[in-house]
Amino acid sequence: MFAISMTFVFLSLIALVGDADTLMVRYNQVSAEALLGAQTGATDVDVAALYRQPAVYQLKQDEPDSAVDRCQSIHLAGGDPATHQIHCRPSGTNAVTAEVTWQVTLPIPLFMPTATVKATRTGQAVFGGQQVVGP
Amino acid sequence: MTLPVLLALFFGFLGAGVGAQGYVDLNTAVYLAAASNVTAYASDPQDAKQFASDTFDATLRHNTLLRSQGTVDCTLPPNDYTAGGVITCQGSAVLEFSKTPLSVAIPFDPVITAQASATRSPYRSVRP
Repeated sequence: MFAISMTFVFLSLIALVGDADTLMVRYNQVSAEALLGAQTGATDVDVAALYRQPAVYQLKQDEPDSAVDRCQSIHLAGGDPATHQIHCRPSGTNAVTAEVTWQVTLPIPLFMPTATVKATRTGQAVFGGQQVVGP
Repeated sequence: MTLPVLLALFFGFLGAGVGAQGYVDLNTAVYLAAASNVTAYASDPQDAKQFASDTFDATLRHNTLLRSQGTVDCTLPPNDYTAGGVITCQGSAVLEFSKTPLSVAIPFDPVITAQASATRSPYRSVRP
């Protein structure tokens, strides 16, 4: 009885450590992807609005080349489009928030076959100074 | 019988932890390198690759168990260095278990690889 109990305890420990390490690596990956997505979206400065009088400091809002589209266009390494996704949304007029989720398949599916890791990061556009300088 | 099993589990758990941390550090270094690459001037692959490799090497140095294999390679497709283009970087490193007592249970040094893509700003100017 003791041997059987210990077998289950050790198996659970192995599953716990293996799955936790996998989730740690995947979380790091989605976190980096969310950062890159937010950074990419934040590069999409609305230049036309910047040179309007008075100048408006904002990201591109228009489809199909909006900051949100640009943020969502980044390449996600690993998984497939159904399980590994990026969703971006505007945060005010000059920032964009990226949320990356990944439904990770656990290597030792003792407790559950998959787990979802998620990371959210926000990037704000940089306009240089607060004064528009002629081209 | 019990003691060897417990020891194997102990070393195995430690090895898995060290391996996961090594992979996380390599992954971070490659993503930072890709982000650094796209800050260079547009259509200037030489500077962009220099930025990426400097960032990769300096980041990897923080984990003493990781030995870089060459440097980060940012020539994988897509490798569009123009403004608004997408680049892909890949880096490899040897995880040196042989530097630790874990080499008793893990008698080899695995090579781990990570890959990342980044997009250059559409308004990045070319080198003046």
